[in-house]
Amino acid sequence: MTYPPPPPAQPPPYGVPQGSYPTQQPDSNLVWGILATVLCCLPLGIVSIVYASKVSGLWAQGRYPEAQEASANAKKWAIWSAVAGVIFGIIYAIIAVAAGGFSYMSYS
Amino acid sequence: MHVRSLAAPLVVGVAAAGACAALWVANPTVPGGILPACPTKALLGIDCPGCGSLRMIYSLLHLDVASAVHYNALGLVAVLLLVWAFAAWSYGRLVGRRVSSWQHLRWSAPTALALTLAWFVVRNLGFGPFPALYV
Repeated sequence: MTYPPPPPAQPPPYGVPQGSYPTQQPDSNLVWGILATVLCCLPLGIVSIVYASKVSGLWAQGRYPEAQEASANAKKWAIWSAVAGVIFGIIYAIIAVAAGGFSYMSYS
Repeated sequence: MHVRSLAAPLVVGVAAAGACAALWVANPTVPGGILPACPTKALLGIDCPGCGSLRMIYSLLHLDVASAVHYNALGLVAVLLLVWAFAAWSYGRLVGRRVSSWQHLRWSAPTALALTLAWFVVRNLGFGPFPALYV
């Protein structure tokens, strides 16, 4: 089976800066930062919101690589926040199960 | 219609519903339950901006808005905004285009940051009316 050849690449529209920068402001990932902060992993969630709050300002100043970096950092810290929350939950569960087992042994 | 593109919102919705169901059963408003306290509170003894959120959502599920406000007023606002963002995102997936929501506004992130930091401070103040905010 043969596939039709891919359509020729569209030339970039006039006036758009050449290079790897997108023409749209990167997502600030603010929703994830707020989600991480509300669901309790404080320092990391706030770091995510700090980066999110830099994105549109940097973009408005034309500092596109820095805006993209801030966007990526906001996402990264929200993810680390979630990971830290899960790890804390697992440790808590292990301690709770262990403590429950010990108290069961000593009081039964 | 892009029904297949609704798969991702559906996954998020089901996950959130499952979390709410677990929260309903576990009842975080009774001390000593199976749900862990916030790590910040457990380690440092202070309220973080997210402290009380589980109890706030539990109260909200039971339509007890007054208790929800008491447990975490800013968290309640955040939950409403998150539901809004989720609805806009799901609608955008359905109609096949990017639907703008509050988080894309110019000052949303700086405002969220300022409110979060202010909330972090005031709920840990030990004088005047502020201790009422400590949960």
